[in-house]
Amino acid sequence: MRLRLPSSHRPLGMAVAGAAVSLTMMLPLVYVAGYGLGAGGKVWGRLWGNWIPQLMVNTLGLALVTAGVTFLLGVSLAVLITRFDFFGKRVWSWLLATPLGIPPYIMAYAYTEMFLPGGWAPQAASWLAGHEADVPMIYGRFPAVVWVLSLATYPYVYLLVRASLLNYNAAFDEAARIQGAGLWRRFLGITLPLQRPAIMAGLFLVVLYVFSDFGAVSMMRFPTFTRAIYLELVGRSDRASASALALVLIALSWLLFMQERRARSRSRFYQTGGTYRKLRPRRCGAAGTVAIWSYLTLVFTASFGLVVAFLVHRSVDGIRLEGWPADLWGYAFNSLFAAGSAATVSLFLIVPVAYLATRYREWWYQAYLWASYAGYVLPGPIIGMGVLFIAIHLFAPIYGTVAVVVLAYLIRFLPQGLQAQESAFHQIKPNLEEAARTCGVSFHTALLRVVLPLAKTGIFTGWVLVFVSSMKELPATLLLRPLGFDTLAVRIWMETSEEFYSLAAPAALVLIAVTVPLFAALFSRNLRESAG
Amino acid sequence: MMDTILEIRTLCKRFEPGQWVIDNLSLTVSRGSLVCVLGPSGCGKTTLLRLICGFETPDRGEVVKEGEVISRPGYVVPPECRRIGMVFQDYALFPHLTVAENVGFGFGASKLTGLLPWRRLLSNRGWPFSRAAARHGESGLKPDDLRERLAQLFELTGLAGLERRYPHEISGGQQQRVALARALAHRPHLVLLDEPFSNLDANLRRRIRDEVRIVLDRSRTTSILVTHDQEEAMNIADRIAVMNEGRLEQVGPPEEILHRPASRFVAGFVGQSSFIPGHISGESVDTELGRHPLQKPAIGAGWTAVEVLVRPNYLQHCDNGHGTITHVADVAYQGTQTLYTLVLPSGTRIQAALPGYLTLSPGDSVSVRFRPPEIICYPAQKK
Repeated sequence: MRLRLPSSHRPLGMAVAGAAVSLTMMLPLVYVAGYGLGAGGKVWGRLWGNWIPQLMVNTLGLALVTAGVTFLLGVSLAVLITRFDFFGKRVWSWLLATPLGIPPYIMAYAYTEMFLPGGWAPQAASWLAGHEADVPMIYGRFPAVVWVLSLATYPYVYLLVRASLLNYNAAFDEAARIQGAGLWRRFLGITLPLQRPAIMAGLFLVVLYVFSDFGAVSMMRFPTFTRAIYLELVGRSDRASASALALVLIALSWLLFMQERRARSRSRFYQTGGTYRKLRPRRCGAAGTVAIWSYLTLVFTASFGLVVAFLVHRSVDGIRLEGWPADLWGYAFNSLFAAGSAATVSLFLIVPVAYLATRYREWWYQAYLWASYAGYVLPGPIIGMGVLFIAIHLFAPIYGTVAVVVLAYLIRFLPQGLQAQESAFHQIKPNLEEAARTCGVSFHTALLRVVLPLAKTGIFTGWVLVFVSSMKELPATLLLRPLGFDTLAVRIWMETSEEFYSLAAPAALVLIAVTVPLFAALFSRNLRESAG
Repeated sequence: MMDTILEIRTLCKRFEPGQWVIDNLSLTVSRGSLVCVLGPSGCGKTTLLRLICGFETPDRGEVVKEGEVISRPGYVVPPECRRIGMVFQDYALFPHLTVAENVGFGFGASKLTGLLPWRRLLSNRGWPFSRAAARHGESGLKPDDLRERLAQLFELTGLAGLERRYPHEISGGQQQRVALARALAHRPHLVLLDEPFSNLDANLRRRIRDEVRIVLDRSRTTSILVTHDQEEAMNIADRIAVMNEGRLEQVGPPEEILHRPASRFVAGFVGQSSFIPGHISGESVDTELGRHPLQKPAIGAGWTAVEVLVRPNYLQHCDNGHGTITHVADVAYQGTQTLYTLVLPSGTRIQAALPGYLTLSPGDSVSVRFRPPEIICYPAQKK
C-alpha cells in the first residue's frame, strides 16, 4: 500500500535524513570495492592462483551442506510442532528457537574443547568402550564445522516454516485427500511445495550466515573467505588482498540476496484463498509423544543443553581455581553499552528510510532502502575493514573511539531492524495517515501519533534484533575496538585463541544470559501472534 | 442565488501519460447541499475526491474553496489546512485509539501523547506544527470546550456511551458513525464521503444512509458523496453528478437525471433501461414499437438513425391485439409486477414491467404497447 501525496507535501527533512543514512550505509562497500578493484593484476593473480579456488570450495561446500542439514532439521521440527498435538508442545515450540541466542563461536568453542584430550568426548568414549579410548580433535574438520553451524542456524528454517505451516490452508490438504492422495503424497506433493517460500527464506538466511560467519570457522580453524580476509588484513596488513577477497564474497552474497528477493516477489501471494481454515493437528498417543520428545530432546541437547552445561561446568571449575573473574562486569558493561547505543541509534536512522520506501513509489526512495540493506551482504570482517577505512579517511575524530564500533554495528545490523520496521509500516494502511491529515493534523504529527504508535511492535522487534546481533558481534569489534574496550565477544575470542580459557566460559554464559531471554521474549510474542 | 462553497474548474489529472483519469471536469457545489458523484467503478470518482482534499496535485485546472484557490498545478494547500473532512471507504479509524480519541484526534493530545513531555509539540497549538492550527482557528480548544464539542458530536451521531470502546469492539454501523463524527469534529466547510456505505450489509445500509443524511442536515454541512450505487444516489442526494471515464456526463437533481438523461450513458447507467433502434422522419420517430411524435423536434435535428430509450414501465400490456407481438425470453418476479425480458420480431431484447397477474412463461407471446411520457433518443452508435 502506498501513500500518494503531491510533490509539494513530500517530507523534505525526512528525505534528507534518508539520503544521509543510505549513503553512510553504502560507504564501507564503496571503500572496499575501491581497494579491491584497485588491487591490480598481481594481487588478483596471486589470489586466484592459490587462495580463491580453495576458499570458494570451502565456503560454498560448507554453505550447501549446512543448508541441507538445516533443511532436514528445520522442516522436520516445524512439521512435528505444527502437525502434531502432544504434551509440552508450547514450551518446545520456543525451546527449539533458543539456539539463535547462542553465538556460533561459543558453540564452536564448547565443541572444540569437548573434543580436546581429557575433554568430555574422550571421557565419554572411554566410558563407553570400557578402556582408555582416543577421540580425534575436531580442528579443521568439515563435518564438525557443519555440525556446529547447522545447530546454530536451523532455527531460521524452523521458525519460518513453522509460521508458514500455521497459516497453511487446510483446504489444500482436504482437496488432495478427496483426490485419493495418501499421507506421504499429500505431504511431499502439496504441503511441502506450498511451504517453499518459507523454506527458501530460511535457507537463504542460513547460507548468508555461513558466508558471513567468522567466529565459529576461525575457532575451528577451517579456512573460509571471512577467515582469509581477516588473516590478510591483520596477519599481513595487506589491504588490497583483503579487499579483493572481500569483493568476491560480497559478489556471492549479493547474487544470493537478489535471488531471494526475486523468489519472494514472485511468491508473495502463495497461500491466499477465499475460504480459509486451519489444519487441525493430529493427537499423539503415549508412544508418539515419547518418540517426538526423544527427537526434540536430542536436537535441543546438541544445540543448547550440552553447550550450556559445558559452559557452566567450565565456569564453576574456573571460579573454584581462580576465584570470581573481577573484570567480567566491565566487559559486560562494554558489550551492553555498545550494543544498546547501536540499537537505539538505529531506530532513529531506520524510520526515515523505511517510511519513505513503504509510502512513496519514487525510485530514489526505493534506492535508499536498497542501499541501506548493504550491510546484509557485508560479512563482519568486511564491515570492520570498511569502517576502518572510513574512520581513517572521513571521520578521523572518531577513529579509536567506541563510536567506530557503534558505526560498524549500525551498518552491519541496520538491515535487520529495517526489515522489521518495513514490514510494520507495510501493515499500516496509508489512509490512516490521510485520515489524520483530514482531521487537520500535520505530516509530522500524523507520523508521531498514528504511524509510530501502530508500528511499535515492529520497532521494538527491530531494536531487539539489532541489540542482540550487536552483543554477539565479533570480527568488526576485534578490528575496530579502542584500546582497553573489550566486549564479552572479544574476550571470549582472546581467551580461546590464547588457549587460556578461564574467562571464556563465564563470559559466554553472561552473553547468553542476555541474548537468550531477549530472543525468547521476541519469539514468544511472535509465536503467540502467529498461533492466535 | 445560492452561494457557492466549492468550485472545480476544468480539472485534469493523469497518472500515466495519455490516460486522463480526470478529464476536463468542472463542478460547483453550493453551501449546505449534498452532491452525489455517481459512476461505475474505475471512472475516477475516488481520484476526484483525493484532488479535492489535496492528496493529489491536478495536472490542469483548479479547485476553489470559498473563493480561494486551494489546488492548481504546482500549488496545493496541504490537506490539514483545508478544513475538508473525509469519511474513508473503510473508515480508516485509528485502531490504537478509543472512539473518543478518534473523534477528538484533530484537537490535539491523546492519552498517549498527553503523558509525554513534548506534548506541546504534538498538540496542534504548539510550534512547529502550528500551520494547521493557524488556519483552523478553533483547533486549539480548551479542555472544557473540547469536552463539550465531543459530547455534542456523540449526541449528534448517536454514539453516546461508546466513547471508551476501541474501533474493533463496535459494529460496522457504529464504526461508520465514528468516522462521520471524526470528519465533522473540527467543523469542516465540506465533508467528502468515499463509498461510505459499501462495507455495510443491505439492510443496515438503508438505515445508516438515512441517519447520515439526517446528521449532515442537522450539522448543516455541505457534502460530496461518491458512490456507484444509483439507488443510494437517488435517495440521499440533492444533486447527482454522473461521471464516466473522468468526465461529468450530467449534473442535476435526481428526478432530472432519471427522466431527462442527457446522454446515452446516463440513460443506460441510471434506472433500468433498454434501447431500440429508430428512424427519424419529420417530427416523429419510427420504431418497431410504432411511430411516435417527438415532443422536442430540435433534439433530433440532423439525426436520422437513433436509439430510443425504453424503460420497463413505458410498456403496457395490450389485450386487444393492436400492439406489437413479442416473445417472452426471461421472467423475474418482483412482487406486484413482473419484469419480463421480451424479444421483438427483429431480435432486439427489451425489458418490460407488466402486471403480476399475467403469469407468462418463457416462449409465450405477448402483445405490448409503447407509451413513454416523452420520447428520449440518442444518435445511434456507429457499429
